[in-house]
Amino acid sequence: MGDEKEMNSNGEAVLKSEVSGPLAGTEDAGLVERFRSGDMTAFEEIFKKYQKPIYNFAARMVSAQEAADVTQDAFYSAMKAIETYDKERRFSTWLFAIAKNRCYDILRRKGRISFQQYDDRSRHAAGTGSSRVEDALAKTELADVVETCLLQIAPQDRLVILLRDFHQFSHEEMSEVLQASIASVKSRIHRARMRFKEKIKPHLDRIGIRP
Amino acid sequence: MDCTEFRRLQTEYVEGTLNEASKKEAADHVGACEACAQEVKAYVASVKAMAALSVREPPPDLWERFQEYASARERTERVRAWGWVRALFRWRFSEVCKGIIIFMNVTCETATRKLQKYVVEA
Repeated sequence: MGDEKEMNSNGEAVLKSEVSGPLAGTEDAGLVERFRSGDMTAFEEIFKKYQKPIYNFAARMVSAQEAADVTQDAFYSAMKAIETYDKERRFSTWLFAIAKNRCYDILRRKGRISFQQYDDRSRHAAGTGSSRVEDALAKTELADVVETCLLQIAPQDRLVILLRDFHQFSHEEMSEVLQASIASVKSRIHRARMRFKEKIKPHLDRIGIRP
Repeated sequence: MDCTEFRRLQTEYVEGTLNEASKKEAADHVGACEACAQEVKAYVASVKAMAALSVREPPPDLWERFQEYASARERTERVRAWGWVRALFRWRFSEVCKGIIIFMNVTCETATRKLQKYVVEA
């Protein structure tokens, strides 16, 4: 467990600094300008800077197997739409918004997302969900339990939790990704965390996190 | 503050973004209500649990794969865009061929008639 935490805190630092470091905005604006004027190496720099956060985001939103495809698709869409990028906006949030849409596209295409019916299906599949949690517990892997519980909540809740608690986005950054007001973001964080808490609550004690 | 009101403000309470007055009311409620105190503990624990997620490394050749992917997509999109032009050209081309054949038919027929007339007169 100590290793897990250490690995994570290193990882979080990487993700956070790559996504929203203090100089990220200025650097990104410069890279975007260079790419707009035809310098492909600037796009390579953008790609290499953001591939890890976008890949990790996609791996949890969709699946690890499809994460690479989503990452490529998101960067391709960003490359094609670079002229529409507004310099006043953070590049990272613009890119995450694109990645979010690509994830939703895949989930819709595969029939794994139906925003209206998700709650009903989730309730209906509660039995299967519990057994999946049991499988994860058998491996005694905390990360697996968290990932399994994440997959049991609706994609729109998963998105909010990932942005806030994994990628450490601020409310302002989240409002740009979700295209929603700060107040709406706060209430979505609250709702998503409450739903996630309900899923993980029965396992907290067993996986070593005491409530 | 009652339990319903507290649970509505739970996120802000945990994140420490409540104003001083609400923060004190919430703290007093948590101190007095065992159920809400347990809820807060579970809430904090579930947020902490997210820290267990490890960072995954993308495939090392992702940039190279992306370049191939982008080229393939561009080719597909170009083919799709040129498809209309080609279809139009194909249609025009066949129309032009038809026109030439009709013209040649008419010309040949006229020439044949003229030749027949000439032979008869001779």
